[in-house]
Amino acid sequence: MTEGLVLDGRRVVVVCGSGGVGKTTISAAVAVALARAGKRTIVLAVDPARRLATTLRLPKAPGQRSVVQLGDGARLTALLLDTKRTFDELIERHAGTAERRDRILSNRFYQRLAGTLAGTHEYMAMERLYQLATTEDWEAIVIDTPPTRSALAFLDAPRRMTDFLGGRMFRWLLWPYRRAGTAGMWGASLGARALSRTIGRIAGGELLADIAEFLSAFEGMYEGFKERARRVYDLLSEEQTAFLVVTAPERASLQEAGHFVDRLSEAGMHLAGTVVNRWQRAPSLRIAPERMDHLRRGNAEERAAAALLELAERLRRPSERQRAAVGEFERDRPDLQLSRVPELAAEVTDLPGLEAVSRVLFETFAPFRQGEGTLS
Amino acid sequence: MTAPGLFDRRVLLVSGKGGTGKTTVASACAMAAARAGRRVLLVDVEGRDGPAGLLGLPAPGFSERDTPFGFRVLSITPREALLEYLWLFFRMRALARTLRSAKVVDVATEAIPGFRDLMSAGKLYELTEWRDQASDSRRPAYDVVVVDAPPTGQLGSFLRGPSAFRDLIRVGRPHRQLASIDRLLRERARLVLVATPDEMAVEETLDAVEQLREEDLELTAVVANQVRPPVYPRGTRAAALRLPAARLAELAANGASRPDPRQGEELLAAAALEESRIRSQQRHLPRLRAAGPVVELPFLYTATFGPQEVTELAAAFAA
Repeated sequence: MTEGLVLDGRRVVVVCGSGGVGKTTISAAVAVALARAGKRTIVLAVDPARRLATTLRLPKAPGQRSVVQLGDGARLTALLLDTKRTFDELIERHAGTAERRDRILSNRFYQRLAGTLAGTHEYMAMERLYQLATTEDWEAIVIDTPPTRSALAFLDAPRRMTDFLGGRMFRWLLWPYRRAGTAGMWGASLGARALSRTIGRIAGGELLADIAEFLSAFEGMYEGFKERARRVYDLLSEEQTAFLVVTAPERASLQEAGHFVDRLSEAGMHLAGTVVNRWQRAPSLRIAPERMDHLRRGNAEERAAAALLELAERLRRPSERQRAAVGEFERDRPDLQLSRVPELAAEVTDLPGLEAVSRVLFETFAPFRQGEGTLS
Repeated sequence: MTAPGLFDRRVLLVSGKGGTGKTTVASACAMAAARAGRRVLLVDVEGRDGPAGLLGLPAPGFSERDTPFGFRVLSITPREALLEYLWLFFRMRALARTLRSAKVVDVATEAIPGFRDLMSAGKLYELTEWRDQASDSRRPAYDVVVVDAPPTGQLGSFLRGPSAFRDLIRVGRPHRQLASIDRLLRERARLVLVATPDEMAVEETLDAVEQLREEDLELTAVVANQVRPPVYPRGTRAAALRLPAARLAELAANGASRPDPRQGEELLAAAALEESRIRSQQRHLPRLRAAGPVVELPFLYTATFGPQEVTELAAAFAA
């Protein structure tokens, strides 16, 4: 059933969904509603294509913050994620000594990892979210998740990256290359030695030396990273965090949304709702076919009516397709709180547009049922 | 309307903002290339079997499957690509088995940043230039591999992956292979970006075009997808805008039923929304045209979306 979205007692709202469903618009609309309700609100955009920047007309540089005035004194802060800088800061925080920090920051492998390679994005998005939640006094934080290829990569990102950075598997493989271990080759098992030789043969010793150098500098920081990844995960599982799954009213998108919903509930996360975005409302006015022929041959007014009725017919077909797809989704998951956001305008690129979406999402500007002050 | 030489290189990468119809366009391109007589493979690198789902085919997994459309399909999974690589180039079947059972392959493909992209790119090389040299009749090389590529947000890391790893791996056969893969993506591939003619998609596309230019990567064409026709046929618009809702409902009912003015209002509102979409489309199409050659695809007002619709769109890419 459709009713206004309720975010009682939530402080962090994670907006997820596959690419192109309007996550950015929905997260901005949620943030606007929260700010309007009097919460000190920040919205974190992590998409490298900087879509929120377009919506809110923000400057485009990563790492920058800007304040959007919503009228009536309400304001919303928006922040664009800077992946590389967030990673550097994380290293600095845990390095302990300047020497170790420099060793890592100048390591070729680290530079590739932090700057170029895919996968760090999700990790740093979650890290930044954690920082905002723990070191700044926001009453509401909305995060627009990166478009990930595998369902909810950002959920596992901190843990997976930490495993990678300090994982036993990797250490085992690289054992012979690590200068630190005095036992050297003799300490490694036969299997590890064989594997390691093979990798050396395929990838060259230099790669392994770079990685080994990086990992040896990383040693001692691993526990800190692991602990932090655990806390990030905890934050995501807490009551105060709500997930919002956004989907387009099309079959492929709904299938993915269903997959998201399942994964979230398996992981024990709290789903606040599913938003079917850009729902096309089809006009219901119909006409008998013989009558249509008559109108087409009629006077100017009648021909205009015919054109409009033809448009109605045209618009009904994709709308039927969508209704069937969403209907099937609803039948499969009767317990789900589904919010339909109709396509209100050709595009939402300004504040009045976002506020219109907010109103549909929350029915009024009241994201909290029991009034204010319910946020922890 | 046809973009120059879309199918004259070994790889055709189809990227774009998420949700703009990458999978549809990639499938339509594969159909058109096959019709032009090329040996075509349509691949999916996201592991979501997007093209197969759209075309109503069973998920192919990591094996090249025939389709009724004159081309073959394949879903590249990085894990299988890595195992195949170890076997093809190093004949390490026993090792591959060990790695598989030790879950090393999973760790490598899931945890090493960028590794998935690298494996996909490596497989594209295997499907084309490597097969040219190997000339194994059981593994025929394709004329064109059409790729349902990662969206624009991840396109940069996909294209940069091989050179990033080449900087890390600086010796031996893999180093040379990475150079070949890099060259395949940079010099022997065509790149198409799909955009719907709206602000968000156009902004993201122009950003991507800028990025590609900075890296000296050539954009072959922009596909403007879901372009809508005018709401009103010639000479009907002025009268339509003057038409009162109640009168519209009356004309439709013609005394046969009780006209409902609210239905008239609803239709007039829908027409106004459709017109505003088209106005916005007219603003954004020229911006796309400034970015490169544009192929326009119509918005299809259909009750289904599957192979038939893709076939209809493929006509726009006819060589």
